Amino acid sequence: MEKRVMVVDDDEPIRNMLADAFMDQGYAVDTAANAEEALAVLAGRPICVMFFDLKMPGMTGIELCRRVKSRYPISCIHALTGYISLFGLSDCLEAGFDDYFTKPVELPLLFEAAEHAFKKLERWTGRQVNIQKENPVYES
Amino acid sequence: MTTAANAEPTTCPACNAENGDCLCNAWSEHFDEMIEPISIHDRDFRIVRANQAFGDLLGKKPEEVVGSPCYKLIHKITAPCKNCPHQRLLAENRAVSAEMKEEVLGCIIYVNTSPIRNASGKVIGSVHVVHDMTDHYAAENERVEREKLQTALEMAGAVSHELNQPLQVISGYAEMLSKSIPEQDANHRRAVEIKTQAMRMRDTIRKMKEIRKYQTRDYIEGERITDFTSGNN
Repeated sequence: MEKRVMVVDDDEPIRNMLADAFMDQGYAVDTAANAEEALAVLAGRPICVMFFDLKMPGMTGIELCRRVKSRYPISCIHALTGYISLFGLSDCLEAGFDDYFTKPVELPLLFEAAEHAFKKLERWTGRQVNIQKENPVYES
Repeated sequence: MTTAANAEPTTCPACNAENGDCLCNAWSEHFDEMIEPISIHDRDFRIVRANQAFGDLLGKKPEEVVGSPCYKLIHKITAPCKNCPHQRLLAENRAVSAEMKEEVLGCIIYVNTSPIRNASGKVIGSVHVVHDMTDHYAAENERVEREKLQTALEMAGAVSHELNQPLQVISGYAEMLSKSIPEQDANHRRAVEIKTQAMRMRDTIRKMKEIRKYQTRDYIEGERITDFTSGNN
């Protein structure tokens, strides 16, 4: 499976910057401006590594994480927030987030988190994940 | 208005006041039970009588304060103080109240003074009732400081989100530029500096959220600004 990540953030410049950054690292990237769009993307293709903004109009990133984890338990979801006190670490962990970053986060930390997530998924599933766009190994 | 009783036909042996001007009999035992410091002062600012609470305020027995001018006894000065309510009462011929920050006693007091008149209506002295406002102002100051801190934290929360979003974009692109530009290129150094300053802004914003006590510091030309460094302890 290609290494594909999804970035969900209502702030377009942040979405674009993170998409550029991950593509520079060789990842395939999907983006969504809100939770509903994210769920629609996930319904169309399997994505196991995700980064969610927490404060979004409509459904919050925390609620989105709960829903994604319930439907797609084999996933690694990371929280990104500019509101440090509004959404605390414990709330995020309880919702199912695998990690938590406060903006502005340095890109190497996000790359490290993504790489760590893919290695974990390889261990869980016993399937090799390659960064090149090869035939999908995952089946939905 | 309090009037002196005509207890003595001629001169009072206790205070030497002439008939009708004696203050001694104006005193009631009841006053010693009151928690407010109460005292009677003559026209020369001398304390004629004081209750137990007044003595306690000065760390003396009530009988030890009699005869001394109040400005000397309480304020340790040689003349009436600037905002002396007794002096104003004598000048204005009416009851006067005043709040005084008492440096010697280390408290803030509110003094109500009421004139004592003789039979012909002349003011011969005054009754002072003191209310200690120190705890009240301390609680009020604490409330104000708490509100200031809460307001500062709420503002910091709002500002931090609005600034963290664009900072993420700036630092992210600066990081990518610095990686893509050769080190020998001058733009590499500029990209690195952009990222460094973005992280510096990030750290400042975090300090804003971590203040524990509202403090200000001098800025320029008398203007003061919130101090986000010393208030974090």
